[in-house]
Amino acid sequence: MDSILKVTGLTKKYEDNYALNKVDFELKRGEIHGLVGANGSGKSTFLNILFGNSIIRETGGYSGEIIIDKENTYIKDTSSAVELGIGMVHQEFALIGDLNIASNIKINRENLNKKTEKILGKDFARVDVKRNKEDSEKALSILGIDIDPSLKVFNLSTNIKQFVEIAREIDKVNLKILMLDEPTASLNEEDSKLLLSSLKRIKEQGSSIIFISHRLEEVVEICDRITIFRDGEVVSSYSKEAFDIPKIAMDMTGKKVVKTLRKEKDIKENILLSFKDVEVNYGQRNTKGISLDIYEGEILGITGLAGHGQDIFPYGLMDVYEMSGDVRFNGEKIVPGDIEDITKKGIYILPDERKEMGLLLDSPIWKNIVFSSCHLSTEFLKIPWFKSFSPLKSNAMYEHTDNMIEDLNIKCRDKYQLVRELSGGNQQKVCLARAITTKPKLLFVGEPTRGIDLYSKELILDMLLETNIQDKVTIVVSSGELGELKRICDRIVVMYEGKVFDILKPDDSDQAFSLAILGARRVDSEK
Amino acid sequence: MKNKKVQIPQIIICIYLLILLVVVNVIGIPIVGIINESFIKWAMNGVLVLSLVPMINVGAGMNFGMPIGISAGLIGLCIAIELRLQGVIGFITAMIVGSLIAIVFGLCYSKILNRLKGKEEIIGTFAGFSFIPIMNFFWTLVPFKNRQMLYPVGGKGLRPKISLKNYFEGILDNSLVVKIGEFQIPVALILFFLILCFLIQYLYRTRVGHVMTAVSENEKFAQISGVNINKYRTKGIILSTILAAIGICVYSQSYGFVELYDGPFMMAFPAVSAILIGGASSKSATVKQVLIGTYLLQTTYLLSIPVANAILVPEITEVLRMIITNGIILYAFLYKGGSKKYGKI
Amino acid sequence: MKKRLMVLLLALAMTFNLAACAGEPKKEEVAEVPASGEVIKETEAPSYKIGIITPTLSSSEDEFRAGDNMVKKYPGIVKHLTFPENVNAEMETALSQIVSLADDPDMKAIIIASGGSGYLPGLQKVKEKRPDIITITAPIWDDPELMAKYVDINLDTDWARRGVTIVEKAHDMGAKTFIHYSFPTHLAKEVISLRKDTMKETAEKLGMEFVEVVTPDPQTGDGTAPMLQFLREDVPRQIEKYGPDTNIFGSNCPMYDVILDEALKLKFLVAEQCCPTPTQAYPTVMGLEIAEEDSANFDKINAMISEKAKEAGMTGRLSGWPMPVTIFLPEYAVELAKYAIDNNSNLKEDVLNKEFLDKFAKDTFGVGVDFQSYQQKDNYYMMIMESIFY
Repeated sequence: MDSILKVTGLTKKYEDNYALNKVDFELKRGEIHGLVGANGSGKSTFLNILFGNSIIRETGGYSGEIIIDKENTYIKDTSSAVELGIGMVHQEFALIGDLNIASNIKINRENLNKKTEKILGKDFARVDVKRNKEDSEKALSILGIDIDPSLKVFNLSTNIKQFVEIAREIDKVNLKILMLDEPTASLNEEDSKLLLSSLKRIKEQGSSIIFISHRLEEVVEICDRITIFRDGEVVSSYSKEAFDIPKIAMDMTGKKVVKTLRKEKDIKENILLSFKDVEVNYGQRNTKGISLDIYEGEILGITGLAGHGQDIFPYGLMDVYEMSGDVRFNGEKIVPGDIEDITKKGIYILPDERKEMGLLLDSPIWKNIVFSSCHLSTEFLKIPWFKSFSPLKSNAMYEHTDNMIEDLNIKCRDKYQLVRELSGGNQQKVCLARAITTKPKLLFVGEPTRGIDLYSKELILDMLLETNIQDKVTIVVSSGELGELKRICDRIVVMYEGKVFDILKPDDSDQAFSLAILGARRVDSEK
Repeated sequence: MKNKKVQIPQIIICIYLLILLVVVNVIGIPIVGIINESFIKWAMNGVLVLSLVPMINVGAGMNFGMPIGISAGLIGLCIAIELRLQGVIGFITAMIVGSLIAIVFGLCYSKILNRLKGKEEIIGTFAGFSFIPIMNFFWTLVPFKNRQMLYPVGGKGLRPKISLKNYFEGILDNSLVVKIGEFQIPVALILFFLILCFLIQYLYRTRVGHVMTAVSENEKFAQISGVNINKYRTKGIILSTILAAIGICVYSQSYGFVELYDGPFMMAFPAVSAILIGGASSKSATVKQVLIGTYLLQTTYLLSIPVANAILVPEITEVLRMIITNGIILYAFLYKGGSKKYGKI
Repeated sequence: MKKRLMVLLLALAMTFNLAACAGEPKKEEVAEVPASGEVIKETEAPSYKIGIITPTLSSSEDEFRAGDNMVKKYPGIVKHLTFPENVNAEMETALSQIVSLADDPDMKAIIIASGGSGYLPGLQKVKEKRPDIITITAPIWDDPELMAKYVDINLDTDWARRGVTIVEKAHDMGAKTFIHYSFPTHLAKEVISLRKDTMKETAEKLGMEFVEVVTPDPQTGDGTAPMLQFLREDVPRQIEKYGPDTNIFGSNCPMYDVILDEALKLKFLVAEQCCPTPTQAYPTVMGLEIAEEDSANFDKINAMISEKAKEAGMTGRLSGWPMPVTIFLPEYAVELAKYAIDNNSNLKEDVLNKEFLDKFAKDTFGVGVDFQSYQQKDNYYMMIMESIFY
């Protein structure tokens, strides 16, 4: 079999970070090629480059060679990708609800009435609805779906919409490469099976498929080959005969020599915060029956793949997600969403989306550091008797800020510098400084090291440990960086599909973690 | 920093003002008189402009719904007249009653705005406009007894304009006027305005003000930090409404009439132009911007028409004035959108 | 009271644009018919009717009150309808209202008092349907040629001639300067700009200085406030320049709130308002307390104004017409129609001449009025009322 797509030395840099580093990849004609890798391993960047996504162009393009059908090409935008015969099905639907299925499938490639086309030209020719319908039926039947193409799309269920998306791609005459980004994420088991078998049929038609999924069983079942991405590099590639789920999982997470920073602590099982059978609505999802206990004094890690709900606990409490159920803090019942009460009780949150939710980017450093304390305590009030209308002690605030800048080694011009102008690592330090200033009992931190350089990563991890031990703050860290969690956490919770899937010890094997993250039971692997 | 830069709207208006000043000198309109009037215009409109600040600084945008607060102030004025309270007592009563009503109005208004976050400016415009017919209904039906304020022919319903001459016309304008040579400075009026400015300035040095500005800068941040956003937004909106009520009282005592019915209809727009000229954005505004913007805009108003009449191209100057003031609003909105969202294409 | 409430409710409904177009005339009739119906039983009124249509209370108070007064004075005879609130947008409804009046076989005269244009087709239709009905405009502003052709009697204020009379009056009162305030959209109207030119001509003839000042335009978006603010600033400047023997004239009614207010302070002359009436601006500026029962008693209101003028030392420096022309013309038209029907007079011979019209005004209203036919048309008369000096 010859190759339809050959990529050599593909590199993509976002500012200082390599999202892809010298990736070599080959897709053979008529094969289904699985791409697996943890979050941020570079899979989506890879697909974005191949599909000419505008993000790539706006951030400086890519380097490396892409050879499609033996022709060296540079993919500059989406329409050139489509011209080259690349089709992509996104995780989010790109369908127009008010149009019927046939119109959605044939959009921009409508069959036209020949006579009117001759007279009026392409743009104003009459659309041949009948032939559109026939084409759509044909495309849908390849997928094994029997549905009337004149139905409007907004009436369809999620799984059918997914099939319509795929049908639109396979209806393209010149389709050579079909890329599917987690197509089964929104499908139930039965429909997933249907989809997988239809992929096989598409393959028989002669198209090649790049398939991304977090469900390893699926990948192993339908792919001819699997390539594993990690940290922007291709770490391994297996053909059908060599498939081995535990091994693939290991490749994904990487076998890192983990130096434990954490000292053994004696954690008594004193419950500080407990979630019992709570229900959370986030995005389009709804999860019920979530329970978790957080012990006093521990550092608890929460990990899992993106979108599996690592952030539901802090966001549920702070009314970003809708949460309801029995939540107790120190045995006292609290109402999720009553943010004032919750913060007053000593729960503080540093969100993972630092720039969007964690900082006042256009305000100076000092305001970012003292903001929450001004709001929560009387520490910086000149005349506490005036309550909220008291003037603030500027000198005390400035002094505190200076101390924090020194203690945490925040690199900045002075305390008046705008936070926007700081680097990611220093911004995160400002966040931590703010959290420490409020002296919380329980601190939630989301992705503390995301987008931060190596040196600062270590500093921040140290800082978290120090806060935990010296200030006796219970910390809950949610992160996709398993290695880091293992270094600082006492226990690690693995989330899968919005629920607490398993709670592991940091010294459990990487394999156990990899499988848990992918939703496979430990018992299975031990068998 | 960003605020210290002189922005394009200010440059345009300053150039326009300079040209007017030169022309005024050339054609010999008494400049001292104009300066004296400019003080009064500055302070009489200043409070209304100031009323925009609290709402901007809780992230609720420009208060295009100002007619709501103004209506509250008008009710206060009418009640003071109904009770035939004259002088300082009447004026203070009008402001207190107006403020109390403004609290109620502001509460309802904030309920609407908090439900429709992100579209405050449009919703505010609609709310303000649709509030006018409701108030018109009120003015025609309210059973006031003081015949100085009722329709002369029908004998029922309030007049479109009520004279304050017998009550408190010019109570601030004409008290404590300090004369320096030919210059007359209405100290009471300016002092009253500056005290209000100081109070607002002080507010932003307190915890409440601190939190409010954070809400307007990054609502999600404030929420995650445990701030009940709607509570602060409600506070800001009520404060704006109260200031608008006080603002119309100050405006009316200078103006000499209480203007009911469609009077408040367009009042939000010059105020918004003023604060934008001062350099505010719809996310943050300072008292300094209020002071500068109001003075610049009102002085151009003051100068442009006598100049126009003198050089006999009245229509053109009128059109130019409209273009400049409305153009600045448009520019400010474009600039806000352009620099932050679509800058990098 | 009930009726007034009804009308107010209706006005509100229209403001909110909730009322359906077709529904409005019906509602009006519901409000009107019982009122007149009741009275008929009591007085056994003659078996004819006179219809008058005016704007609503909120869009023009005077005409509405005039219609209302006539209903009270001649119950069972006069039938009063109102045009939709926003006539320009609902002209069709307005026209159908006019025509609907002619459906009543007892209807003998139809009067339109509006001060707007576009109503002529309605009156034409009435004439086609019922040539016996007398049609009177008091006033409408359609094309004069056509109005003279299709309407029996056209009455209006003589706007252009006032360009001469006002200046002459101001001169007689001692004015040396005549200031004319207006703004672009007003000056674009032919009548107003013609009047201004006439004023200028007359002033020059009489040796007065004529000063023209343009104010911010209230019709271009910002409302009247900037215009009035400007007057507040500009009037003292002008008086300082030209002295108190100056007459100030403004082309827009709301201006007089400020002009008269400043006149009381600065003692300059106001010979006549643009729409001369004791009920506008004077009560506001002078803080008149007019008791409800005196609300249509113009003699009393005039007396009150004279007294206040005296207090301000302004006796003889303010002048106007003793009653609002917007009340006078509609009422005059109703009286005229009633007279013509009662006496079965021949319009052309008995009624449509200056002598009769002037005398009829003096007899019925007690005010001197000077009618002149417009461009020698025999059924188009323009009037000027005698002045009252406060």
